[in-house]
Amino acid sequence: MAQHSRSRLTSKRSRLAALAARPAPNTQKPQVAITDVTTAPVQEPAGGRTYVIVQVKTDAGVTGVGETTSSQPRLLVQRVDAIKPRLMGQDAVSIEAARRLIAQSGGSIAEQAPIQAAINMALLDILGKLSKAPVYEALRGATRQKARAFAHLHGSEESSLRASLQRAKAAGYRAFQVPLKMPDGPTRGRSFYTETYALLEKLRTAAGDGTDFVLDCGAQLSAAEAAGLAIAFERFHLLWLEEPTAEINGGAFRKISAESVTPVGYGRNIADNAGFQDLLRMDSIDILRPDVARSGVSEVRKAASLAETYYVAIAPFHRGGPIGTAAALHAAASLPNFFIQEIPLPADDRDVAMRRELAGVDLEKPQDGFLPLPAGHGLGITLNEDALRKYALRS
Amino acid sequence: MNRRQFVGAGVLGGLAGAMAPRRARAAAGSVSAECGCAPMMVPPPLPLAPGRLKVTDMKVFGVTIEKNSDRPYVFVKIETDAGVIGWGEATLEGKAGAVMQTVQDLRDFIVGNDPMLVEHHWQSMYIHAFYRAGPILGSAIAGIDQALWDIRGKVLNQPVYRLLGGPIDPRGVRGYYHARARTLEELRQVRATAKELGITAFKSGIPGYYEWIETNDSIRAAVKQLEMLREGLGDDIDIGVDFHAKTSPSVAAIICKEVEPLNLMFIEEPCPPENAKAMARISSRTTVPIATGERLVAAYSCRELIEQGIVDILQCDINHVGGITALWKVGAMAEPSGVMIAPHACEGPIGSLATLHVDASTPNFIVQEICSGVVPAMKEKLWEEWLGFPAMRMVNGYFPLSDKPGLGFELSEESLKKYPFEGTIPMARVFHEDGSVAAW
Repeated sequence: MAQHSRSRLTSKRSRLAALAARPAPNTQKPQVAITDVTTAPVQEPAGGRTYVIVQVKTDAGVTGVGETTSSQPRLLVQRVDAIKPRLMGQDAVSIEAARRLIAQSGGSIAEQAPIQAAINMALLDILGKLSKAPVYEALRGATRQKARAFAHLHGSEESSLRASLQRAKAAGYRAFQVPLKMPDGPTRGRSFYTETYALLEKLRTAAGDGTDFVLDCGAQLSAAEAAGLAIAFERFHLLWLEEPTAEINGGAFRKISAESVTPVGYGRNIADNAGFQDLLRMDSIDILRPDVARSGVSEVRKAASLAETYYVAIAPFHRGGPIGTAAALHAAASLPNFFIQEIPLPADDRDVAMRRELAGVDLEKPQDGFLPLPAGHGLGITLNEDALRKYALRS
Repeated sequence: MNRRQFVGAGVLGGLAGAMAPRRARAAAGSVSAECGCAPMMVPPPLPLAPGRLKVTDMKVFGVTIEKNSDRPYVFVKIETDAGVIGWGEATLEGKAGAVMQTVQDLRDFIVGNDPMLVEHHWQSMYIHAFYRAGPILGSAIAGIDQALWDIRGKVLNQPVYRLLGGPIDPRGVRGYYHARARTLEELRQVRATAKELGITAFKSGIPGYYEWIETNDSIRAAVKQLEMLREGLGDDIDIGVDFHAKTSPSVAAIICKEVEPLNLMFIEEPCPPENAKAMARISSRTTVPIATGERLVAAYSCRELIEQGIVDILQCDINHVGGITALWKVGAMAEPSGVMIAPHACEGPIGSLATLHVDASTPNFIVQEICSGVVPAMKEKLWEEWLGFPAMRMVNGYFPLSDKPGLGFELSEESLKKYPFEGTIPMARVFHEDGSVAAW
């Protein structure tokens, strides 16, 4: 018994000594530390598209830039300011450590996601710049030399959609996303299906050979309507039917996929990859559409890893600015199962010019439907601070 | 059948390259369009853009450190025209010759090409093999993949964990040794040493071999063994128990349920790996966390386990699952489902050190194995001799992370010359009392 007590005491002391010897978390100074985090909401002059540019400064003289979107940009700015103290002095390169810090700051996943995404882009920009390589190179090296792209068209009836299509085609796109027009009346009847189909056929004719279409339902349909629409379009060979129904009903997803072979895509409202795992688990998704402004590059890549094992590709959702485009292209270039990148078509030439001015480069000039990869170190963006002021969001 | 023309992937952005038709259709009526069985032309070597690094050689070494062993190491060395070299490990017990040959079979995928395209090469090695997966291909790919990561880290001047998003914990990577104790007294000694060294976890096994239905004596002996582990190691040390796929779901479930009060960290491979549903018959009937994965190749093979919620912990081995590229994907896939990773590492120093990079960058990592005892033995001293530091020895319960670029170590061919390859023997063959085949 005495021997037992002695060994207990010895081991207790040893344990305490061992604990004391162990360094406390995060006391080691990082090689490159975060020194500031700034935000700048901007707005495109013609179309009014709004996004928030986030910059992360470091003590190595390297600054990273990221971007996100928000329906309440000023609130986003406040949230970033509240999170900033947690990031100051922290490792500017450890993506996952920063992710954990932001996750511990409180708020829902949906609230945190835009900030996670923007910081993720900025830290990867820093990693690339420190490594003197493009982000895709730092991540995995190129899996492709160019990225297929599609333009989200504007308009609610045929004439405006045609005009938007012509602009997109002239800009070099060969694939187009058409926003679904919901009828005014309460009944959706047969004409809803026949007119929608006829519209897409007219747009296809106008677009010419070798072009493709995505139909964006904007989560406006019920499960049965979506299944009916998916069936109606089976021989049209849409690339996929986008966001047919709201993501609140697992049964709805299953129904659509069970009834039809038209591929289905979801993701703009999924801020956590668990949502994609569930859709894949239910055999209810054919293409993952994570929003680059919610997932950033790293979570997009993780979602893609999951999808790869289901023989499913990713096509990141993107309705933001040129830094989001850069981030999306770096993700695309480093992934084996990327398929196509959504690019928000600027409303007119003023907005095209603004995006180019802001980023210091034009990444949105497809050649025969494919975008070249960004060049240069990091994201390949040279952020124009004057443009941040010039295009600052006015109240 | 549409075929995509492959155009060289060594070209960076801005360079349009030869714009082959996006959808090249086979000539009407041609046999090759129907079945793909006409011989394919060997694709020309990838056109390298100017200034890109090029692989000049790929060497594979069998390394025998112990006579008549089933586990000589298989190391892969890749050399480039800039003088940057990378090392990887492709050790596969009982199959060294086959793996070494497979690495040689993959020579054209790598030599003459751009070493930075690690994902691209992984895809090509795996998919263009046609017959996918299997541990021999997986291990060959693993060795090459690790060496390519070593190179890319050195070229980018970053430790590999920084390219993967780490380090999450600057203390390093939490680890466990094997208890290797047969008696209660030996276990108490292990505990005492652990407490001095700050080690917080150990793994052990269950005795003997098992039939698909087992006797009362056999089950009691297994349970007693595990009770002794907890008694000897104490309540505050985490204990993993490796069933080594010896047991059937029927037998494993009985033992797992009976040892729930011991609060084990995990029970590993409670049945063989081929049948995911069979493993679910165990995990659904016990609260002991169930772990498996060392024999799985590529992220694809983990899908069902994650999708069906069958295990708590995946233990893929970097030398078989397919290197850093594949192990990272397993962690990424597991994370949204709350599944953790605790990679297996029971081979050489290179794969083990490579695993630490993935561990340090994976939020759902919990603990890293090394098949060593709490007291270093011959193998550990040899690794230190080769690498110049005590590889895979913990400090305060954590494997330290190197801050050097790449995988973080240097190894010379010269140091391996004293341990030339002497072939391999198969893994142990064990039999039941009646002479029928058993698993160990």
